[in-house]
Amino acid sequence: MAERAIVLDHVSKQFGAVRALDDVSLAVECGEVLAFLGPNGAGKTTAISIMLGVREPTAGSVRIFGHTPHDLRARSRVGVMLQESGIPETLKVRELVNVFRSYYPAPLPAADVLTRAGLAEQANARVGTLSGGQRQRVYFALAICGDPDLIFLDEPTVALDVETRQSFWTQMRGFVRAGKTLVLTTHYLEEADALADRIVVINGGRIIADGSPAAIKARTAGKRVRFDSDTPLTDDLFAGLPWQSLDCTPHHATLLTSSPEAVLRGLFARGVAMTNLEVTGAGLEEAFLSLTHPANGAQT
Amino acid sequence: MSATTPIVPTVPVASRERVAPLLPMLLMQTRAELLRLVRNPAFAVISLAFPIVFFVFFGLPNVGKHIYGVDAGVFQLASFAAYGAINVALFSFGVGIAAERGQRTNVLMRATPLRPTVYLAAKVVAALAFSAVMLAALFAFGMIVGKIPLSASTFVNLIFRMELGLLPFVALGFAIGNLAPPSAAAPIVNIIYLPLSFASGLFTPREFLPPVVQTIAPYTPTYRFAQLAWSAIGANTGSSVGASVLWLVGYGAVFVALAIWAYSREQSRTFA
Repeated sequence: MAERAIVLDHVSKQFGAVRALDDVSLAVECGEVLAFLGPNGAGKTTAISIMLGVREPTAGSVRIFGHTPHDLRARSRVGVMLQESGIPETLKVRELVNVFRSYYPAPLPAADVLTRAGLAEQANARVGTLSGGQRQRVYFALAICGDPDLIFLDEPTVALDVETRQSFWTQMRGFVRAGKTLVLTTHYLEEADALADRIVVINGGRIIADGSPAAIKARTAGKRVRFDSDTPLTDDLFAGLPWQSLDCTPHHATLLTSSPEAVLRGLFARGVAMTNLEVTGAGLEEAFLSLTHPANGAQT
Repeated sequence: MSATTPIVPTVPVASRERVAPLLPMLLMQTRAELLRLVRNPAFAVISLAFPIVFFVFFGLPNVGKHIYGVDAGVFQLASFAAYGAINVALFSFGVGIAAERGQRTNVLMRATPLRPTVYLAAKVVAALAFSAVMLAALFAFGMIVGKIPLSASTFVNLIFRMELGLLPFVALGFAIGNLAPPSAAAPIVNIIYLPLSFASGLFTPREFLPPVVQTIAPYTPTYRFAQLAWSAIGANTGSSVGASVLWLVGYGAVFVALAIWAYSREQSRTFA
């Protein structure tokens, strides 16, 4: 299909002194499932807000199905679950779903929406009486009730328990099979991996990686190597070895690498005497940082 | 979420460039706004009960006396009709919109295909409908309990005038709702509205007010609004309805300008 769901063209967003998005360009085809992955404050929510027309880009342009995000023709095909947005507390779940259904040209039947969201039993409960997890299901129901072609989910499973998260993913996969386009933000690699066929890693407002979950995982499956040394350490000793980032003082070194064995073999061969050697799995945050600062001479 | 209901493929993507019809959207949105007003006890009870309670205390004892050429009980009934109607407009808009900002429902609504015009129209229709019910209840109470003879045409004319005259106050409420910090909206509305009602003779007829206040009264929008009610029951308060309508149009223009400024200020702060 020639139609593209989303096109971001050199989009930047400035909040006062903070550059929340920095020259982001991205095209999302119809039917793609894309996860924005990044730590808190990376710019994920800003990116989604701009695609929804809730925020305006400082520079660059956004197209949703070829229209501006404000265009009703675009909005009528978009469903959204937005972090930190509220819903009227005094309406009943069914009433709220029906109001939202009236915003869309070809909504799903209300009973269908409530079943899919797992809210059939809460249909006549007021929103204000619901638990956090149930409330999250209401947001989900509102996101799907218009039978949208493109769904934005901002941190969709934050308030959900493991079981609900799993069934939520099942529902999402159902949408994907129906040819829908899905864009979600998360700071869990696991969630991105479970749902997405494309992961865009974002940090400091920039896209630092864009690829399949397998490719991203390979890049972020790093280990942290730490050791002390009696012989003075210099950067030269590490030259040519496969590390992603290196922090080296005369008697201590910390480095991130996806192949710790090769690094250690090289260092031993160069006669580095180590004490207190530690090899640990690097957290996602550290993996992001290593992606953000591709080190000199390192193969990534 | 049910894992047993897979989604059936729907209409092909490219053929779906449509938007929802306006009228059903407006009806559903208006219904939702009305439900929200009715289910907010602080708003619904106070708005419905206060005009009647005030009438019991300040109107009923005066039935049979005369003021401005009419029965004093009827005059007070008209006064509290004006008080109650403005109360609905200022609170449903001023406090309601500020609360939506506080709960960030405006952020979610902004991302839906709900048109801002439909959203606003639904709020106006809901506030007018609620105030019409409040006025009908107050008049019925006056007729039944106060034994006040109110002809059908006067009954309808009073509601009609109150509804039309309410629009400037809807604009004022809309401005306050967009300007006030969410938690301070209710006190702000009270600080503006209570002195204004007093000064315009809604609680006590103007001729019993302190001389300074008597001088100020005709310049207040609330006095001009009440004038619509007082003249509908035949009271001669010394100024013409035409002049009051002009005053209200003038105030309306000012409040609409204030509302537009407040709205764009709020929009650029939240959605820039």
